[in-house]
Amino acid sequence: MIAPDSFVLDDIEGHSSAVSEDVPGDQEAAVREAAHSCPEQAILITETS
Amino acid sequence: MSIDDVVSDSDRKKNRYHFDRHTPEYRTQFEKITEEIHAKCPVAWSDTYEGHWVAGGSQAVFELARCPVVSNDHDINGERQGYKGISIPTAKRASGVRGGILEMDEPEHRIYRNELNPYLSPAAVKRWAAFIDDVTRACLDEKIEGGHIDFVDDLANVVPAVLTLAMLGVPLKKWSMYSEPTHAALYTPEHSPDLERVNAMHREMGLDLLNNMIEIRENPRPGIVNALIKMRIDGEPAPDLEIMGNLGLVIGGGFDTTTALTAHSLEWLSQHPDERERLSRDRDTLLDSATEEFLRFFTPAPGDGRTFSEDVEVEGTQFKEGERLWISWAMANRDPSVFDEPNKIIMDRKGNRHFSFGLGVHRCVGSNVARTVFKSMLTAVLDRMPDYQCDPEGTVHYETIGVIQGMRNLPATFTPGKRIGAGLDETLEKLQKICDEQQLALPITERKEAAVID
Repeated sequence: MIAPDSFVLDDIEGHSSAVSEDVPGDQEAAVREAAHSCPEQAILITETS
Repeated sequence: MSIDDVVSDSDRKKNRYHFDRHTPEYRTQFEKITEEIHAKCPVAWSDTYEGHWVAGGSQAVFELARCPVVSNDHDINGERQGYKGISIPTAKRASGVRGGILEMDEPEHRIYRNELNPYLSPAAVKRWAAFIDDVTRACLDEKIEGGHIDFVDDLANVVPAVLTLAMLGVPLKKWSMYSEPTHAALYTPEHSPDLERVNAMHREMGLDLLNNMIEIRENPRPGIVNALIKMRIDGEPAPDLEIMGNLGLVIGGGFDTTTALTAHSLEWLSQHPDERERLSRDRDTLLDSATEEFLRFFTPAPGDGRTFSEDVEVEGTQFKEGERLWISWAMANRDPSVFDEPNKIIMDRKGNRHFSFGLGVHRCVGSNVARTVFKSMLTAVLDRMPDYQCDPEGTVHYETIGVIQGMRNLPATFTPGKRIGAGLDETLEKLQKICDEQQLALPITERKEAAVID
């Protein structure tokens, strides 16, 4: 996993989900790379100001 | 008259490309053909094999693979629309058997897939790590003192096969009875004089699988076979033929694909010793991204066939119900609009959203098995045979790459080392006992603990 601290994998299905709504600053780069690399393009990042 | 009738076939099929992925030229000309398809027509009509569409551009592949009116169904007995599943053309060997969940649509696909998931999810596969490493270790111990190995025959064919049988609940010692025909079926063309022998081995494997199913039905033991026997659809057991089809899919999907990935990666690393050293040294940060990059570049399963189940327009092309489609993961993986320098292996590539496991609901159910087994084999070779050199003279790639981009042989030499444990047969006997005692083949829902190998 590219951002193992920001996503959790379901044990049975193997589906991935975000651990929280907000991405901590130190996770931002990893989460952006995860979104960029997701083959299903299923990770959407919403910017807040 | 609907608007569709106005659009003539020649208009719809104006992007034409003579595409025959079953010729040896397709392997040797792959990059050139791929570049032409990307430049001219992300979706093209080809007259080959009774006519079919070919999707090679990444955006078209992305949309079509996830399109709800693109069907995987293989209607063996003509009970539905008569669609022909994922092979183009239909392989003679496969014409009478449906290929498990890969040749099913919803809702049927989901019912069976839910049975497989608890055996193949990341958490489920993780439990097998020590088991996998021990099979890898035994394979290398068989060869380490001699200074010579065939990475296909002696390693990459063995570990995926042994693990798959363990997960199914089939005795480990039978691995070669399953591995040989599965591997040979992929590199033996339908016109080969050897075909009859390969088919006979295939029948023997099928019979053994059937016997295992009967045995497990009478005396249940954990594993995927048991899951498919126990499952109920509207209160009824799954038909034996569908159980066999799914078991065949797990075997076909589990064996030769990881073999192909491992062999190609080891060959490339032998040709690029600096990259090999870098990967070994920086594996903590590089192994995961390098694995995805090898998956992208070598795309073991290069594509899948589909059938349109309704008239539909996707990415500007109009498709008609019943038309066949080849979705090329391999060509999408070289699309320069997604991958910079697509024909180059960049082990720390970023944004590598490759297509090698497919996309959408049919995304490879065994992807985590593939990654785990590949990494075990690769790192063990880097540790124990760090200076290995592949022998180009003895290297044999599959003649054609229409079904699997595989290798038959990859011989190599290396500085001999010391054995650190038992050979393969003895190890498999020990591991069989451990499988039985620790019930390793239980689903993740019933067993969370990792395998303990002493």
